[in-house]
Amino acid sequence: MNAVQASVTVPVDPATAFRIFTDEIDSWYVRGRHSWVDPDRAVGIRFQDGYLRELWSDGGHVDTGKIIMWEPPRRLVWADLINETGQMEIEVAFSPVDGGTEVVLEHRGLDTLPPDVAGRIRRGYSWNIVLRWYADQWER
Amino acid sequence: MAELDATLAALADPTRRKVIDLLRQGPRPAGELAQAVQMSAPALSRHLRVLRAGGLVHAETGGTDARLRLYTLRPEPFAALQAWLDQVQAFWAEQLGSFKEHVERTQEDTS
Repeated sequence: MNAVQASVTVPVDPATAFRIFTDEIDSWYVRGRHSWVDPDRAVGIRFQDGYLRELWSDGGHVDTGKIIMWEPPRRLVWADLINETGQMEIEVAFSPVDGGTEVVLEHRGLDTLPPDVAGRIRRGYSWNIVLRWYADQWER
Repeated sequence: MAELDATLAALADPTRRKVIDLLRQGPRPAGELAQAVQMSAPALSRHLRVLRAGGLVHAETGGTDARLRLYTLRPEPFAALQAWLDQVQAFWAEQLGSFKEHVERTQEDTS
């Protein structure tokens, strides 16, 4: 229960997959009221200056992740900055397979959140999103 | 929501996670648990109290000696936690699915 994984295979070589994942994240990242730290102001997302950054309409931004490994075309790791005292990391690995590249994403450290998690947990994008989904589940 | 917070708070500690792992194999008295995690019974009882308060374990209160209480896992909070983890995964699966569609679109444009 420490980590979750998701994966997909894309019909390009690892270098291209890595480039599209990073340089073009703004073109594929799924928008939704739950996908942003600040949905009212968010207009874009970008890997920039060593951070995964959410851009705002007023010119401001929030860094949601700090890049800790940038190894094109093989892998990319960023540390979650939303829940500062937890130690969550997201690793994305690109492996060549028949017909393209397998992209495996692992979100780990889900059990490292501090005991006073209640106040903090709702601030993060993924936490924010999933907790609302989680709450919705009880309303159905 | 409050229940999930309590579950995560209880699981944030390595000793308590170890106790959970031990209890997966079956119910155990507090004394055996203390021995298994190499901790004094009073030191462990603090952790057991958190696990009880979080609803992760249930203690059979038979005798007067707390060390003889039999601890058992309660499945409910784990089902809720799993549902929550499934949602984290669903979030990333959706993002990767969208990434794949974008790659395929990009390739069609260039080919």
